[in-house]
Amino acid sequence: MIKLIGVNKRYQSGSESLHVLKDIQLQIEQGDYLSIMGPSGSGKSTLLNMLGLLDVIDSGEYWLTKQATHQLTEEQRARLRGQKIGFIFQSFQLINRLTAAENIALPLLLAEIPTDKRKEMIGEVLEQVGLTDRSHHLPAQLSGGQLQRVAIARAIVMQPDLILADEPTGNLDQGSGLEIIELLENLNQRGLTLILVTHDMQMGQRAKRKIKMLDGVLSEQ
Amino acid sequence: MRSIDILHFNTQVFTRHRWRTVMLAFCIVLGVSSVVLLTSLGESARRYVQREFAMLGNDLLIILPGKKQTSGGGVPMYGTSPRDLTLTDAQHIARLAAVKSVAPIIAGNGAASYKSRNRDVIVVGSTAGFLQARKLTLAMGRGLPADAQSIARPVAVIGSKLKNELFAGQNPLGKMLTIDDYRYQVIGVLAERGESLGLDMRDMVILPVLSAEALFDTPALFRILVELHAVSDRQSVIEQIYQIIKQRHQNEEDITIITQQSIMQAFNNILLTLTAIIGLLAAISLVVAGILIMNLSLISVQQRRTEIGLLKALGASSKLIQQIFVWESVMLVAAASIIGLMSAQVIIFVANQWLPILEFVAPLWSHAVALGVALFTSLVFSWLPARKAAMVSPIEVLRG
Repeated sequence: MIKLIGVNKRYQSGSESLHVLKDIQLQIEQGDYLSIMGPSGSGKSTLLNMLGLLDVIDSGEYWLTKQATHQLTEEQRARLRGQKIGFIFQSFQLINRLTAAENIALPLLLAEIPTDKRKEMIGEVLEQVGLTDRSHHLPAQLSGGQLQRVAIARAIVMQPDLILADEPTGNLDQGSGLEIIELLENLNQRGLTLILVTHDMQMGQRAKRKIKMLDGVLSEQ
Repeated sequence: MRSIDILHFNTQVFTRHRWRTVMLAFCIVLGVSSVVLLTSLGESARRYVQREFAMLGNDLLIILPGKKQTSGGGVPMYGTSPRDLTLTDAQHIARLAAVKSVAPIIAGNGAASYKSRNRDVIVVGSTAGFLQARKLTLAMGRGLPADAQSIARPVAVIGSKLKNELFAGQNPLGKMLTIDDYRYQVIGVLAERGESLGLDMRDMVILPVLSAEALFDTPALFRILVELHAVSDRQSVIEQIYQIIKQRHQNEEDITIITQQSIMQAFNNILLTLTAIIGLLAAISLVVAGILIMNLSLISVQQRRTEIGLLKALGASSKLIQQIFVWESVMLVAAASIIGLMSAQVIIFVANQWLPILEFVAPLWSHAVALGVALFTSLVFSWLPARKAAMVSPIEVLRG
């Protein structure tokens, strides 16, 4: 499903050029569950941004569901991102003025899904994350665990092929964090590809494939 | 994103940032209504002047002493000629076949009194044709005698206000009115009309022209009003009048003849330009509102960077983000402009109830200009914030 061939990424920092991804080779199949671990500045977030089509590679090839993403325009990448990729962030990134259901509806609005179909899809994901009775609540009225569930519902509502989770339990207590990981693993068991970036060794060890980033170089354990 | 969803999404932004929305909308409402109200003020002035001159009729010529072209520049109020325009000139003009009547006018100020009551008034000396030429009617009594240009009879026709001020409810007919050292018998009272061409007809005394000559001790006429037969060739009559004056004034064409149309056209052009200028000045307030929109939108983009980054991560292209922000500004300005236009209509309605004589009317073009400038401004000034929003990097704002 995902193929990275000789991917490199450099950032310019003043007069210094930082080589943050070095000749990355990676193949991920549909339904895989990967964790990416590594110290701060090792390049794991950059790799996640590349995989999420939020950033472009300098050289190499990135194939996502048989599409050469390195050849796409910004608009094409945005469309593909909306259709194939779901994001989960450490700080949830919900819009505070919108209810849980309205936050979940955002990817559907961007994909121009009709209103009736939208309601149906939102109802289904709310049920999957166990928040049917919280659909009209504003973020301020929900707990941390519930907020991340809303974010997960938003990430899966478009039925993407790939979920990219950046420290999804970083802002949660241990109990809520575990619940969220179990929810994500449950989604993975249903065929969703899950890539998890984490500092937490315990969480990372739960993945089927463990990848370590160190100084821009990827190694699989 | 479908247009309807952008509208709904932006409506939620307006609801959330209620005060910001209200203040911005208020600026636009003020700007749009100012454009409409100020142009309506200019338009009502133009119509008022047009009505006043239209009352003079199409067949009227006004002869002034002194040479001045009617096209370009203002109308001379008093003559600058070394030779006066006299009653004899008027009598010669009256002999032309195309001339229906002639009303020579001498004008000046005088102190009118009756018993212990005094009042400064405008005194006009003319002939029986004056009332008809100025479309004046009588409320009581009769007009000037037919021989007003040959006999200096001590009679006067007075305005309605003057009647009330000096005679306080009494019937003035037959009473003796004193102007300076002369005494005149009141023979008629003008019907209520108000101001006409800047003269308050209600506060005026009309005397036979010869009586006025004696009162002001001058044979110089202020104007000659010439009423033509309806079928006359106006240009040919004007030429003939010039010829008469040249013969009588040592071959000098030292008069100016103006027509009702030429005055009306001159005033019309001036007032139309004036209306357009005040409309444009008011439109500047819309540009100021546009700058305010831009500044507040830039702040809004700064505050909503995370939201913009999130939308991009969820599949929104930079172009869509730009569209959302431009729509936000256009929606707000369009709604506020409609409120502004409606407010202006309400104010015009109230003003018309209060001051019906001015007949406030907002020309249709002022609505179009106000709306057009407001929308154009919103498009121009929302472009920069929208562009800034489109350039937000989701990587930077979603971290953490």
